[in-house]
Amino acid sequence: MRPPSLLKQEFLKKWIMGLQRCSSTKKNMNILERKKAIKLSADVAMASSRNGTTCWSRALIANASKDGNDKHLVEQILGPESERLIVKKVSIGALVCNKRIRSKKILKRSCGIRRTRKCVPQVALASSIAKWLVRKRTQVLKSLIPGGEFMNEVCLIKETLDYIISLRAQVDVMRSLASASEQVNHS
Amino acid sequence: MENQFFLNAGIPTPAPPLHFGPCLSSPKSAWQSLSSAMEIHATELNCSPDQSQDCFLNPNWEKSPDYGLQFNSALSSMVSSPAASNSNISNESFMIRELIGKLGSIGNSGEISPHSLPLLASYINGNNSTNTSCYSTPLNSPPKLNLPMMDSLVQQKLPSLGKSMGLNSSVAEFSADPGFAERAAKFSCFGSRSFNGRTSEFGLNNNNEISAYRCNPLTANAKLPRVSSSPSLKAMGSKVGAVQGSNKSSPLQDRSELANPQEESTVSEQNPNGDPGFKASKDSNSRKRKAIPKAKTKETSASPSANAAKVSEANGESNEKRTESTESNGNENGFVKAEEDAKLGINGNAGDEKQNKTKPPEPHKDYIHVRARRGQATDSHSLAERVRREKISERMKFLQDLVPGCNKVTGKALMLDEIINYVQSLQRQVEVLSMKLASVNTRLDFNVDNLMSKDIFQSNNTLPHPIFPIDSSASAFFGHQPRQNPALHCNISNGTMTQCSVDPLDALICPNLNTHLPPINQFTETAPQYQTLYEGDLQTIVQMGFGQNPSQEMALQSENFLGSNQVSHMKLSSNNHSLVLD
Repeated sequence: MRPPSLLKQEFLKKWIMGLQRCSSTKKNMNILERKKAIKLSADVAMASSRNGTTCWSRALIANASKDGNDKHLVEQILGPESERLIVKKVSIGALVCNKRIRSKKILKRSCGIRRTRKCVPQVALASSIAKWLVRKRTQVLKSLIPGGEFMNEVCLIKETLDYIISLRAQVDVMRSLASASEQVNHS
Repeated sequence: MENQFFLNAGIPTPAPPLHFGPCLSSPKSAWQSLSSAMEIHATELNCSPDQSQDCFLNPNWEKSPDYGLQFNSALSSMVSSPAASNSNISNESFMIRELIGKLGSIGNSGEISPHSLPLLASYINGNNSTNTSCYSTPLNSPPKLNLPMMDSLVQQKLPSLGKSMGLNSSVAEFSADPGFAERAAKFSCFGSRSFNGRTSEFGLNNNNEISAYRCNPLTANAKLPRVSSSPSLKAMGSKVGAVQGSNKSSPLQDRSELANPQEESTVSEQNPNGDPGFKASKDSNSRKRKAIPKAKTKETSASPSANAAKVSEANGESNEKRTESTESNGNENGFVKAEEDAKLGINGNAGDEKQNKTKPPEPHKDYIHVRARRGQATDSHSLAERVRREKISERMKFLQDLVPGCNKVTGKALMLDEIINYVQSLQRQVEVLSMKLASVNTRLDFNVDNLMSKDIFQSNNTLPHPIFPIDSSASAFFGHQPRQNPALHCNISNGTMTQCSVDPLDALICPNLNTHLPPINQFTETAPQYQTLYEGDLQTIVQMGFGQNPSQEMALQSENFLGSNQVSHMKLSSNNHSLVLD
């Protein structure tokens, strides 16, 4: 893994670039628009630092570029790689994932039908409760991680790891930038 | 109580209680409290082995000086009394035997029973280590390794006892006493059934200390609640660990560590010949809970060495304990299995004849060869499942390091909980920070980024990774609502997402609010013309939260920045004012 300072520098560069492009397009933004632009550019910068290696970054970029307004911004931030990142991998990934989801649903339905015929004892075993708990939480985690619905458990945890690291770097950079600008404003 | 005790056992009280009457009156109360404490502990078997062991042992140690003194005086009085003629020796030896047997019987769950003799020595010594080293010898193994040590200790400290009254001889008499086993067994009304099993074997196997432990599972069969025997075996494990080395005893007692590589190493060191059955017992432990005693008995009867037996039981029990604890936490079996198996697989001891899961060293293979372990299903689905589970558990370990506060949590569900909370908090922080940045900078210009980048990465190291400073800054945004004008609340109605996300932080914010309000009030009154309310508030909060010193480098660019700010100053103030008042 790259050292975190390198990651942060890269993130900051891309982020500020995106922000500048944002401000050049729109002159007067209210606070919410600004916030959105800041967050979007931060997220995209974060995701692009991964260079499409991780699933969540691809999904994040895909989600960002779905909206027409933001697509330009995304493309600007990503630069020349934008086509590579957005068009090819994401679409294919989405297709594959949709297929997987559909097949899983079919399988679950068939298994469920089979199970209802068996007389499963209704005793709530600790293990089954535990499994249910884990499944619930996995679902929540999938909703949190961008593009998480398409992953199986193994990948999900790996992606979570990566996502946590990048989120942490993002938060650190943003916080320090905010505090630095505060100091600048104050003094 | 004493008389009751003896009556229950069907043994006549010692004939001349004169020596012991005054001496034993105080220990009587001590024993009573001990037994009550022990019964309490016998019922509450959910306490951790460490705890239970401490509970068991600590009362002993509290009373030990009394015991030591009393028994020392008793014994010396016996020895030195002129009435200690040959005719009386049998009586005295009988009394000593009774005493020691009683001491042993009161031993809760059998821990103290072997303690009794070494306890006498150790009471005198006040040395815990001898206790543990002497522990491994039951009462009836006369000239074994630890007894000579004890003998020397005893002879050092109790010269008055003389060789005839050496404990060695009394121990020899123990072994010869056929009725002792019954009596000791009857004393087990205090102890758990494991002790019962153990003591019943004392008479049978005189010279084999192993069997005393080995037969424990044989007699303490399925009806014995496993947890009750576990504290004793944990103690055993701890003693074994102490014997082997201090660094190994801790893993045996460490419940939070699901599988112990050090435990593995103890096993490997003690079983250089390899003990396939023993390992299999561990695996079968993880699979079938009911079969654990049987598996243990199989393995322990097969194992030749004492160490193997002890460690197997300790390990088996610790495995049980682990599986029990983790299952009581609501974990799935698979996870525990996976963790155990993962750990067992990772260690892969050299002398192990166990069939480990082997990742092939040759990278050119496309698939992973997995071997089924003994006692587990061999079909491809379960193998693949096991591989998958191990992968997951490996990754969870990484996550444990990454997510703060995850180290103490065991179990998949709880860890996933922590991870979810952490990710959510990080995402919320991003939201808050972006809002903050948006409010600070109206034109999204970060012209000073060149200089700031240096500062940022310097300050990145100094900044902690906290949640509370963010909460304090969030309070500046959203904490003033109840106090200020609610009419402007609708201005940030679109930002309800961020508001709602911060609401869970309100609980954290509340303690911060009180500290923040006074300086903010001050500032509102004395707000300089140049600075807005909002900036002042933020500045104080930022300084409080971050504790940063303003850098000198920023002074150069600050004028530039402020110059650009003047143009948008009015807008900034109006915007921020609405923000603050909401």
